[in-house]
Amino acid sequence: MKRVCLFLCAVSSWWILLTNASAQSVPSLTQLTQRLERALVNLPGYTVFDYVTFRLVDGRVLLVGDVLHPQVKQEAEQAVRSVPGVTAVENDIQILPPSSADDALRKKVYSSIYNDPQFSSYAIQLVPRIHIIVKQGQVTLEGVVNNSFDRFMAETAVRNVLEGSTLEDHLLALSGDIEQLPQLSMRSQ
Amino acid sequence: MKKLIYSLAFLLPLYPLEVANSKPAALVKEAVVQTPNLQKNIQNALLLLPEYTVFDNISFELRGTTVRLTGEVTQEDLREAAEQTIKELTGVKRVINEIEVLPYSTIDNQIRVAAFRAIYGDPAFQAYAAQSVRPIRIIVKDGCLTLEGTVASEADRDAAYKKVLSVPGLVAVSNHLQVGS
Repeated sequence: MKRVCLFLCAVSSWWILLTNASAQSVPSLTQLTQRLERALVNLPGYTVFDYVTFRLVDGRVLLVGDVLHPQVKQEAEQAVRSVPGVTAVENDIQILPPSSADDALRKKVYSSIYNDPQFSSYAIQLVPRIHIIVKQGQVTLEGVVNNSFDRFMAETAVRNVLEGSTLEDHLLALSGDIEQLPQLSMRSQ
Repeated sequence: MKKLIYSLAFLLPLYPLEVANSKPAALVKEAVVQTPNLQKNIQNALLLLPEYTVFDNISFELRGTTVRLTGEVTQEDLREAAEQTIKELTGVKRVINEIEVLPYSTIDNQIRVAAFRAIYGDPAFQAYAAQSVRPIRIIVKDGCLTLEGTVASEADRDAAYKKVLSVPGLVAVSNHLQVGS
């Protein structure tokens, strides 16, 4: 009887140890998403004219987005590789082609949003949430706004300065756009 | 002999747990090695707080598993969110929240807006405005303005200071901007 008890104790203590170890080593999807968002928020050289986001499948990370400088692409990959729980990284971030016309358009679009008093709550944020991607005259808005109204107003403000350029609005509205909310955890801000 | 084997089988798995509780030198060393990551995690977790604006400044000090939060914020919500966020981080066991909530003042708010426009509205500072984390923070309390954060050069540090000097209603200005990358 003693032997049985001792055997059971030994088995149960091993089981506790192993489950404890596995619980610590495998982060949940939410934890991993948060870690990735935190790793990407403060990249050197990262601006509102760049946008980096990720897709996450079973610990494998696919980095996507557009950046002005190759160094930001490399920094993003390094930052994500160092996140505990990430098993592999595929870097599909695109480098935007240098263009003085695109640079001028970036300034105009930036001003149309961040210098507009109705977007003052976005302008004063420490981490600006609306990103402006300009590629060969095409403008794409990325990031997060509070609601559908702000999204509409941002789009309208930008259209006023486009002068023939095209606009794609990928902004995610946190309210009034409920069908998009599940994607939030898959996007960096 | 069999008893000894059974005893070892029972005790061996418990050994690491006991070690973890007693924190011998090897594990303390491991904790020290992890500290730079935790520092970065804390810093970035704070940056992602949606309530965090250029009119707030949160600092922290990490000692072992204890984080002491300091600084000044304009909203109580941000103070609470900062504490809650840091408490949930892996590796943090205790948070001492010494963040000060700045008193509401219409005049201070006017100073904040004017100083924001003076700095971030200036084309010379557009590179700072476009950064993914805005590096210059404007803290206003009872008419006294303090510039916090980091700029790229001594010239930018001085220029930012001169910009805010023209803001009406100021009682005093302190320039705590640091020069760095």
